[in-house]
Amino acid sequence: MKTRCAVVRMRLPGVESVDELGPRLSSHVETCLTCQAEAARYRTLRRHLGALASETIEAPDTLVSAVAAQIQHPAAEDRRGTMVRRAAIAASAAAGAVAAAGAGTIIVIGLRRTRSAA
Amino acid sequence: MSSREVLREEEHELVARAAGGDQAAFTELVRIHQHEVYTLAARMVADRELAYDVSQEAFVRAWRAIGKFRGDAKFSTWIHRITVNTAFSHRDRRKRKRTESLDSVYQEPVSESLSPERGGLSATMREPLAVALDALPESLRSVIVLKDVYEWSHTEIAEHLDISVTAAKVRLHRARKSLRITLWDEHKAGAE
Ligand SMILES: [Zn+2]
Repeated sequence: MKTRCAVVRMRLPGVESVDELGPRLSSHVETCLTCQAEAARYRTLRRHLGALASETIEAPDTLVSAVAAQIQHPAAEDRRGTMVRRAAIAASAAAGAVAAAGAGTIIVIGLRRTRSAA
Repeated sequence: MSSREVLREEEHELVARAAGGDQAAFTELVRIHQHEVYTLAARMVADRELAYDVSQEAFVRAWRAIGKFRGDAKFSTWIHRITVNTAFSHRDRRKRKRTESLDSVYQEPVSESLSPERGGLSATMREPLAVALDALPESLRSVIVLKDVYEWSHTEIAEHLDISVTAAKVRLHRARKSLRITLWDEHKAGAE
């Protein structure tokens, strides 16, 4: 049994569900609490990673104007680029600290494709 | 027509105008997609300043190529692919700046509207996961982000990261195993 536990442990990171381990290993998991716990950890990990898809980190305020300037006047924007970028990042970080008390810097947008259950 | 279909219709029109050289229409597309592109870039490179550069360059590349964009795909799918390619091409210029990493963003409280039922992370898991993800080598982080967050296929990942499908699978395996060890053996997060 110990060997099967070791094989399950080795293969779990590469599968989306226990079924993918094949009939012998998946029936072992059904009877082994250690392997069930390990499978549950990977399920939790995938679920939490999947949940990140519905959270969006707000872009710095200047991103849109920087892109607009870049497509209108590429050469001029190249000269200003670094200074504008640094100011934008600093402002965004400061705004994030303020927003943390209220709305937060992480907003929810439906970005995910439909997930199949693991 | 649903509001989503109306938005899709509007976006379709913006894309068509942008493809015809309308800068204002393209800027509107940037405004609509800025946060999702920045988020993807930030998750790929784990550095705010670099994510800003990647996002900006991705949009500029998109502007230059929008004439070739085929309307049968979603604009967001297309711009995501450009963002991943841009992040990949920045890898050699990348400097890890831990003090400006995404940790500070993830550690901030989540909006009150973000409940677990709506897909948010449990409080005990959020911070350790963000830190562990950020600490992964870039080659592993990019694969697990694209696969487990954005649900790309191994084939898509292999194509965009210029690696084999086997390499994509191996990296995913290593990334998940590394996060599992960090979160449960090192942190003992008990994060269920
Ligand atoms: Zn077992």
